[in-house]
Amino acid sequence: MDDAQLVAAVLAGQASAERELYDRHVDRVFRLAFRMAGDETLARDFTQDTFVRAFGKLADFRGDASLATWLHTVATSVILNGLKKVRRIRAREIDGDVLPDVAMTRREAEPDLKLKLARAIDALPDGYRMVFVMHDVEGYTHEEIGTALGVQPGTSKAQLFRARARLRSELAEFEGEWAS
Amino acid sequence: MSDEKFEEFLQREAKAYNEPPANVPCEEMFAAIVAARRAGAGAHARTARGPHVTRFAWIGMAATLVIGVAIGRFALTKQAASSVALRHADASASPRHADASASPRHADASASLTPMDTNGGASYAEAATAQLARAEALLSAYDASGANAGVDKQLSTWARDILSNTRLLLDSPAADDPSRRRLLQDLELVLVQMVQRSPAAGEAEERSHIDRSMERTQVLPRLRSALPAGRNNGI
Repeated sequence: MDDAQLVAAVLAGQASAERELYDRHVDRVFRLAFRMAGDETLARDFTQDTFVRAFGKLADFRGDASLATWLHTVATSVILNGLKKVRRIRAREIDGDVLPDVAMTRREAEPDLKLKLARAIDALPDGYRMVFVMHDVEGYTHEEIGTALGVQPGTSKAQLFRARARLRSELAEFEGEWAS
Repeated sequence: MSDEKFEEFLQREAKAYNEPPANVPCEEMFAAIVAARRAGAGAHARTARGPHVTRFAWIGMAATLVIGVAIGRFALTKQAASSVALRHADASASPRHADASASPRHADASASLTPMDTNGGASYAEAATAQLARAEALLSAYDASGANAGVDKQLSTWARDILSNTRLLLDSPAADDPSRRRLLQDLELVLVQMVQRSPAAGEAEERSHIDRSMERTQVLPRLRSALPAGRNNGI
């Protein structure tokens, strides 16, 4: 069943088609949500919210892009908004001095290269981090990222460039190690 | 150092960044999605039905008010007439009793009690119906979540909310009707099983307890038949 047939079946109320659509895409959406959230509970919430919204808005899917790309448009919006919301709530709940950032609750100690890299990625602005994670970690193309984020592929490339530059600057002291 | 070297390093090492677990919790998430969609559909249907219901509610309230005022006036007139008659008849025998029944305080109280009782009963009935609709939605979602899935956290939280309201209803006049009371008690049992999960028991065992209770009490079909047509799942 291709995307259009699957969407038509879901819109016709076929529960099995709903499940098939979910099964086809859940792994990739969950992986992206987990990479961005760094926390399983949040990743589950974001994934669930993505599918709830996607099923609710499926009638809007026109088939201009693939269903996977369209679904990622919903997913990236849910994840970025969700992360903002979580930060706001945590900022209210926790004293500013001990506020842990989302996806920054682990590793604080050993400044070895891998930990430093993870910390530097965490510290990227969410927009850059999303592009970096999608491209360099999960292997999406700039076309896919551009469609998902509602930007041109060139903008996606530019953001990736800036993200890498920031990481390189953060890891300057380890240059000998990563260059070897 | 060259950009290429750095990019190679990034693509090699960044794979470990927030690495997702090997097993994606597909079943649990799908059950939560189905439950959320059902709840959302109920809310949507309630919203869509809103203006219609509101219009009839206003007509109903206006009619109740008019009838209430008419009954009140009729009762007051009749009571005043009868108390005047009583006063005339028993003037010499019991003047204090006649005075008391003719007092404005007594007349006000009797006039206002009737409509309040009616509204109170209607409110309990409406609250009970809404509660049963929510319970039906929950149990349907549980039923749809599949035999292999356990009771996830979201369903459990949902069950906890419904359980506290069910207990309130059991202590209210809504449970005066014996068949509704039995239904609420059976529902309470199933909800308690959903909420109080034993850490020692496995998910499959927990689910089999709940399934057995649902089958024995037939609570889901009874809930469905207790709801007025079109009220199931709040749809």
